[in-house]
Amino acid sequence: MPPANSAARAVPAVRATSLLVGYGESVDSAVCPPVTIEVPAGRALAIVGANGTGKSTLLRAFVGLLPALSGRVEVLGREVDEREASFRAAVSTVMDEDTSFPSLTVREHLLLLARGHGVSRASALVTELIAEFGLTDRAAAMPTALSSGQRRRMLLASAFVRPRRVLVLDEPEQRLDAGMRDRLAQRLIAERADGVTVIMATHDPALVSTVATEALLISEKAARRTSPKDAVAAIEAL
Amino acid sequence: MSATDPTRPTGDADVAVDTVPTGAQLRSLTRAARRGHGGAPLSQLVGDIYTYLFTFAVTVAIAISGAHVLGADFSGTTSTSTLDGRWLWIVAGLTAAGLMLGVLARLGPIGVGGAGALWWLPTPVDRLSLLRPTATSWIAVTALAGAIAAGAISALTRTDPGEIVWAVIAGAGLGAALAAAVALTQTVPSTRARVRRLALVGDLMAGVAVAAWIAVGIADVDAPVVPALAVAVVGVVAGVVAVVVLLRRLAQIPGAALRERGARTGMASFAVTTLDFRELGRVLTDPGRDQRRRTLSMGWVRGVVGALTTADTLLLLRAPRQLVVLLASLGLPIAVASSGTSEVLAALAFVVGVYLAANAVTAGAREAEHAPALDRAFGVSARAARAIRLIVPTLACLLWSVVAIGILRGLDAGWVIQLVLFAPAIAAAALKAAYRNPPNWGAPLVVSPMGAYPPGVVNSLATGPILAVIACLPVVIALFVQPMAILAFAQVLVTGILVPVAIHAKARKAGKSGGAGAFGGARA
Repeated sequence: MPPANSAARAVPAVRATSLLVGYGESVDSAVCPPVTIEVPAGRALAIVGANGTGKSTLLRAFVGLLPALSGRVEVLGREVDEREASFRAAVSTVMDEDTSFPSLTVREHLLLLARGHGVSRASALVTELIAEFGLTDRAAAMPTALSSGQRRRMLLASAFVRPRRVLVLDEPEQRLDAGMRDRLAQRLIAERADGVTVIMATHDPALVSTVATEALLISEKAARRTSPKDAVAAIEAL
Repeated sequence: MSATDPTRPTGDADVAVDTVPTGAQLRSLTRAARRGHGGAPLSQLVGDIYTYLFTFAVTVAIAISGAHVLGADFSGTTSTSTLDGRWLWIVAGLTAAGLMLGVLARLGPIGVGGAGALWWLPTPVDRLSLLRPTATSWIAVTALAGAIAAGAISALTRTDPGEIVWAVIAGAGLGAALAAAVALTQTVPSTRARVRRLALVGDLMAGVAVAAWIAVGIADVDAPVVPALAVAVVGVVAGVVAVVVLLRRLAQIPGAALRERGARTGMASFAVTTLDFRELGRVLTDPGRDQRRRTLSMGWVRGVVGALTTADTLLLLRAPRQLVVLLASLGLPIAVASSGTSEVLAALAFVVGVYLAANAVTAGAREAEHAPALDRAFGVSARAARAIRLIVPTLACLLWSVVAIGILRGLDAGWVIQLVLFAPAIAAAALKAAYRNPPNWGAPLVVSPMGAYPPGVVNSLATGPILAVIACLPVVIALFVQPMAILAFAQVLVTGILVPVAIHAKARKAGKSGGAGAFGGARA
């Protein structure tokens, strides 16, 4: 993934303005306080907070899966509309959906995604990712035959097998063993260095301290920008 | 935990619980809780049904008027029967039995659903009383399905009334026997591979029966004479024996089997209860049947069009059930037409057959609706992704209708043009059905004598079939009057409307803006 050019860096990769999210139709159904935040390209934002404070809901609004109750979200300078081709081409997500193409093996699933995005050397890239995510022995298996943790690895590999400028991850550490968490952290650091913007909701202090460049701490009363160090302290205090 | 806590172990073998409810009581409590979620008026459901019946009636009236103007004659019958009625009996019976076997094997059939497995099975109620209603429901449903299928086939082949009665009895008995026999396989520990093989036997039985029908038609072989009375006796005896044995062994079904297949049964029951055939198709597609398989290089895929069409094609080719449905749906209009029945019935069979086929080849779209991340994963708009998802169904429906019309009417340039214009329309109807919004189960339910339904269930159910009827109008008229320029033009109009409707992706509904609401606005 080539680094974003300087013009692209001038516009925040992700910008939320007075964003209020929830599952009803009125602002009274908001699940967390309003959020205003900008994340420049090549930075990594960790969203932290206790269970039920709206981290995943906020991420769903960032990727257009949930309309805002009020306020707005922009990704790469445009208001989010997940139906648009440009948005889909730029934003790679791993949310809580445990999905893959039915009837395809792990390797076929990754190959289809890579070739569908016109990735050159798709086969070699897929082989590398399968090895990186510890799925070499399971490459010919159907995803439904994988363990929960292996399926999580496959979904993460799916996010990295395609071009991306923004990476949105909902608790990426879920179901991963310690070794895989370390490798994921290294991968995310490399992504950031390549100019990819990372937005992740997480409960993992190690992921926040090693990957995040900034943090958003959400509580019932407020959503405030903070440093990764303070975010780690907040996670450990929960 | 207090000393008087009734669930506290006492040190004895028993837990200090006064009475253990029976399975029937547990089910009764669950039904009462379900009724508690009601609240929406029944008139809402009735109003929806009325709207769609009215729409359907208007559509048919337009078709009939148009066909009359073009000089159609609805009183005719299909060409003289080319198929020995006894063969039709055997083939249709085997096909129905095969399809039922496939469905039953995939669903269990005995189970208590995901929630039941979670909340009922750990309770100390006796397993027999808990499972008996499920078993009897399945047996009753399959007996009824067998009776209806046998009666319809028998009536279609114009046997005398006495034989029709025996056929209905035989169908009911064999249907019940089939369900009970498959359920009996659950009483012994079974591997997933064994279940898959049993389901595959059902699929193959249906497929082979249709292939055999084509073969005997070509070879002009006389069908064996099988007395209807004998079949009825065998059916009833088999049904009674299988049901009695099943009810004795019902409690032996392992909890693991009930849990594993309970979720699938629950999803299928939910789909049947809500008449959601999209969900039912998804449950029965069973995409994860193989643990491992030879991996393709996908070297031919260049871009998103190749990727999505490859995904759809492989899903079809790797799901034997879908292929069987495709083949069996083709046999439906041909069998009806070959039976020398009315032209109207043959046209109806064509509509039902092609819509079944279109549904069978839109499994990819159904998966994408279920898991929107699959479409979002590519760099094309939602609208473009749906348009691409239309390619495989369109080609499959074109092939299907060319073969069907070729056999029914004989192909000429007029028919080819008509069908080329028709295929995208029927594929669009199935695609729209695949991507339609699910009913809202979060809202108060409509409690009717037949059960609880979510508001909008009729809308969800009728979207596909209504569009399919509209898509088929010009072709159906052409079946009566031969293809002509005005019908081709009508097909262009219908297709031109249905395709944009099918690929349209609605924006997610935005909430109301403005106001500080429960939280004050502060810059983070």
